[in-house]
Amino acid sequence: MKKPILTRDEKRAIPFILPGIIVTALLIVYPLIYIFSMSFTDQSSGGSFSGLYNYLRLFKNPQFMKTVSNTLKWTLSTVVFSFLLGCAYAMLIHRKGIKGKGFWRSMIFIAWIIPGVVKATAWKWLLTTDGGMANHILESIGLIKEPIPWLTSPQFAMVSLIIVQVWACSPYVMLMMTAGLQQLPADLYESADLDGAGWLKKTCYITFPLLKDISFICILMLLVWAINEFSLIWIMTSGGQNTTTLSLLVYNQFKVLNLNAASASAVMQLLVTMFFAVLYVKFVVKEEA
Amino acid sequence: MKRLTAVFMAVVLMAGMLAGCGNKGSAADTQQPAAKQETDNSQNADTDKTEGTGQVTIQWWTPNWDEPESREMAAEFEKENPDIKVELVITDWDTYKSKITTAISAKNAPELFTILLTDVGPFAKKDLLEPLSELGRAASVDFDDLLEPALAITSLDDEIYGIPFRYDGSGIYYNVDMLKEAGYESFPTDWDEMAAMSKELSGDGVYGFAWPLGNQANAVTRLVQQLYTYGGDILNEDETKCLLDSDAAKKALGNIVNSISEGYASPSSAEIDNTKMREMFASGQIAFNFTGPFDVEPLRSEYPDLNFKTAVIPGDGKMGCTTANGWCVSMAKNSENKEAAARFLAYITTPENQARLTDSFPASKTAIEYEQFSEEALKPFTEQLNNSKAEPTYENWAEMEPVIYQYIQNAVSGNMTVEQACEGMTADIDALLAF
Repeated sequence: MKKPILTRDEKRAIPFILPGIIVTALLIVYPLIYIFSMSFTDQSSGGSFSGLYNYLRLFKNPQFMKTVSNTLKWTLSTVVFSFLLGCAYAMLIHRKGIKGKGFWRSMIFIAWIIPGVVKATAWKWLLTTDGGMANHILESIGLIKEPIPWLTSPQFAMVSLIIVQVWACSPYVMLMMTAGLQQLPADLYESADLDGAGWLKKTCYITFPLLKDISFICILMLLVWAINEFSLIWIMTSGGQNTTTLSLLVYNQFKVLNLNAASASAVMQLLVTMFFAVLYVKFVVKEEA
Repeated sequence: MKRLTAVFMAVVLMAGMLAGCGNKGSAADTQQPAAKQETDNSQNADTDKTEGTGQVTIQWWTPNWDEPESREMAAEFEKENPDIKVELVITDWDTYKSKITTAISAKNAPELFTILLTDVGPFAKKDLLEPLSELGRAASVDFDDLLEPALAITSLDDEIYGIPFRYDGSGIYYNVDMLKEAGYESFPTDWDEMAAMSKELSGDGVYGFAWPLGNQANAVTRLVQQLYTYGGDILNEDETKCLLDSDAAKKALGNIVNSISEGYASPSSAEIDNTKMREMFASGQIAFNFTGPFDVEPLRSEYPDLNFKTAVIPGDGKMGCTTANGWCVSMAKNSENKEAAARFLAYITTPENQARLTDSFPASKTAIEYEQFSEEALKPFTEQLNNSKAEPTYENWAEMEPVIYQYIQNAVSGNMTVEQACEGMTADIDALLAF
């Protein structure tokens, strides 16, 4: 007898899944198709098909490649450093003998729960060149003689933004990794101890391999947040001092009603995100194979 | 299975991200605050009911600084025209443009909205605004009474797309006591004299003045004013070539860079905007400030002890040039009740109502003669309009402005010389124009 395509249970599940699929189609798939179609049309001539014009125009804009380069720098730095710092927080607090674990986790987690606009505004004040707390502290302990233009110099602006994003996102990694660390079987570590494995070996051969799935989710989320981040950059530098990323470019084009160019930029933003995602998925799959 | 889950997760997250940038999605998000602010001018009114009685409802998006006068005008107009109900939506400086952009692109625009004169062109070029010449005349708008330079900014191909009600440019506000202490009785009209005076005024955390370089539009406007002062321009006449590598442009950018590097303009310039500059002037951190006539009253009421006077902007041996702009009311092309909206538009822009709506100068020739606009502190601003040019309204301006801003920042931070910055912005803008 031929096996049916769907089992009875699977058929029964369809009505339950359908509302979710419909909502997803309306809220995600339709706008996605709409954006793609907009990127190939020209609004000034009544929405007629314009081929690759919007994309060619985008690539001809000397600012575009700088924006892509900024986006890559921003994304790679924030993802790598947020992940490493989050892991470090989690492993440090998870260690035996650390007192007040809940307190330390709460303190670190504050950076995550503060609303984005508040975070950005507070950091903007802290990093103000003239009268900002950061320069004041550094001057008073004698580390600097002249105030550092944290947000108003091309050398420091991107670094400052990356520091704030890492500070803001690493608590999420800490939370996820802590949950993972608490699930790890203690007997593996006990066996490793008996075999004389040190902290580094236990971390590399037990902790990280067992936390691979959680790491995957963390990195993917960090990637999406980094590429999508808008409010932090907008409030702190407004994209000035070579800090314009693709999300700001889309906004700038949309603001001036350049909808076709904004759509083309959004598609490019998607491609950059997919580039990172595919790279990472491939890496994970290769590891599994 | 894990591979499948991973790929599925990735695709859903990416798609969600792009959907977030979507036109429709953004429209809904952005309009939410506007909808919250929407207020019915006549209490307890019900749109369905009014439609049933043949009353037409029109919507006007007006900025928060015009809110009290707008409410009064709407109430008066409703009283005189019981067949029209006016709904007000209050916008603000930071979001007004994106809200209107979103509403227009989502085909959900109000009948009337207040926008900057220089924003009319880009909307009109995309055929999103209703031509007002005929509608306005039918509703008794007196176009001959409107200032020609203001009307020129809102016109495209001999058609008017916005009725101006305010038109002004920058001037100088100076602290009389601080200048007196430094031995100056009046404000110089020459830039070099002004620079020499600023050097004397600077010290102990106080500076001659500041630049609003923390805000893209504010910063570029100041550069353009300097550029116009030295007779330069941004593009050639047929808008095919950038002229920002000219001597005038280098002198203009040089004035900004040198004033900061030589210490007579505030080093905070790179991170402040016009609003912060007003605070600095009021608190005595800077001796003079570049801003518009609209600051006269707020400075008097908020800082009664501040002894200030006004002057024209110093230039190349004579009065410098200012960029002029203002506000107007436009009508969305796809609005439903155009005739009713035109009647209200005519009412808003009568000389009396222009005088009520503006904190600086009206765009009506009749209204500008009113006593309230002829006081001593406003005279330099009237004089300054004699050497004024409209802010740029080039087709590619939205793409050009960030380029110029980026190079201003590079020059001010010392990352580039003035020459490199001017040549860099020219090359980038030429590349934009070439396509």
